[in-house]
Amino acid sequence: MSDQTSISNQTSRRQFFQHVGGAAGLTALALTGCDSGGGMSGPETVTFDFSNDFGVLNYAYALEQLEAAFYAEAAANFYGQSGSIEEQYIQDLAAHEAIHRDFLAEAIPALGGDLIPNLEVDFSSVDFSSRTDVLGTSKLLEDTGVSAYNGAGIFLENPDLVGVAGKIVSVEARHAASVRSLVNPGSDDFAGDDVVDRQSGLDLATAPSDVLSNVASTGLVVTPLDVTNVGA
Amino acid sequence: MRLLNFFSLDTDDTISRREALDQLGSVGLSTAAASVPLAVLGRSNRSFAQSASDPVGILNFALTLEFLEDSYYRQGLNASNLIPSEARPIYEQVSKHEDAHVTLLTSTIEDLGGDPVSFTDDDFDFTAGGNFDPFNDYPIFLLLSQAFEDTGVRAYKGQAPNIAGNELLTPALQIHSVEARHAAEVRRLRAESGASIKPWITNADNGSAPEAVYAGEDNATQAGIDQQSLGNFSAAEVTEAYDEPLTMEDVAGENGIAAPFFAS
Repeated sequence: MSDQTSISNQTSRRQFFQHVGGAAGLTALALTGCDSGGGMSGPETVTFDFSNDFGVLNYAYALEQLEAAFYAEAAANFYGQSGSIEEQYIQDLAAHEAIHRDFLAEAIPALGGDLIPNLEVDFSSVDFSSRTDVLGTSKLLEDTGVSAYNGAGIFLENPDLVGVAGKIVSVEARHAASVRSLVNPGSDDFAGDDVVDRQSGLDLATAPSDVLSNVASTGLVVTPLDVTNVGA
Repeated sequence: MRLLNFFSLDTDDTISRREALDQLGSVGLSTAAASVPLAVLGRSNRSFAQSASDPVGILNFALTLEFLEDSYYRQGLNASNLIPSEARPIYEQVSKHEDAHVTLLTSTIEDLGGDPVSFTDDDFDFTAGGNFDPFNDYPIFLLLSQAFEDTGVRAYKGQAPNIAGNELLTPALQIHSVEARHAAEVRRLRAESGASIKPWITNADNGSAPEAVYAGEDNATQAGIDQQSLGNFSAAEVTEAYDEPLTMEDVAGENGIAAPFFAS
């Protein structure tokens, strides 16, 4: 795997404040510039109200926006050999996450809910020419997605939406296992003891507030995210 | 021998299996929430779902599948010259999880005051009446492993709407995603051996597994929205992006996917 770190770093550092393509179904990322020290005010906080199903769906939509934006970048700047199976996997992940994002962007208003704005993301910390960097970030995002859906399902009142979330989360789990196998092939890492409890055999289910804290700590999302009405 | 018949045999000496039949039957007849059209998606119909569901029946259905998987992997790992050394760490992890799921579901059913089903290796026939030889033929072992894992994912998914809002939903989802991790890894192993499949399910491609395991996986409409209309996505991509549910009848019914693997 070639590793043109310096060139890629220059490229990725230009990619400040990428706006994620959303409702229009566009996969292209619109870039906006920001002068250093330009006093740009940050985006407003997006709050997910878990007292109704639309809050939960928007929470999923936010996570899908992040994943879709990441893989669009990773696929466009693939670190490895063109035409490889690994490239196909990254392209597949980009397509799947874009489909999830665009579906939620259409479904939420169609069902009568208000859609949150497009999130601002910042991948300047990711070296897209580095296999280690891309797969490491991918693993983090996929495991986060699985644990987030597992932890949010109980908040959905509508059984049909539980069904829809179930259709998505198992694909996220397939992604997580596959990326983990690319990182650590031939091992138990695809369902490692760090994510699947060895006593109960249960995958992680993470509370929404903890998921958002974890996401914030990655620095990949500029838009502040918050959640309310998640119970005691 | 079909699974539901197996449950109902008069000669069968365990009451719990007959009760499981009753529970399987009652839940299987309940109207699945998945048929509710888009127009009512915005409304809560949780009360309907709860009245139509039977948590112990659902858990015994899940436990039956976990017993099947647990027996399969234990026998596979114990078979000499079957699983190559490079795949043993993978199957030891899978086996560990299925064993844990059996223990967890059994204790959960007991905690709910229910009567958990129980099976031994002798209750299963992984040759399916002499059609397969999985414990002497590694490609067949992989193939059935893929079928069982993908079926498991679809079976849990099919029951999730029936326990919406129930405290059982979260652990069910936590098992469901583990089965999906297993499925992806087994599919990757098969792809390495030359099978034309990916960790995710493309259209309803069965990759030589029984077609029933993948029936309906080519669905391209979610919540009434045609997924290909969302953008420039192929049918392969939009079907890969979602896994589809199976009903209890699809899996454990008289002609269900699991039926041939129960001993007569």
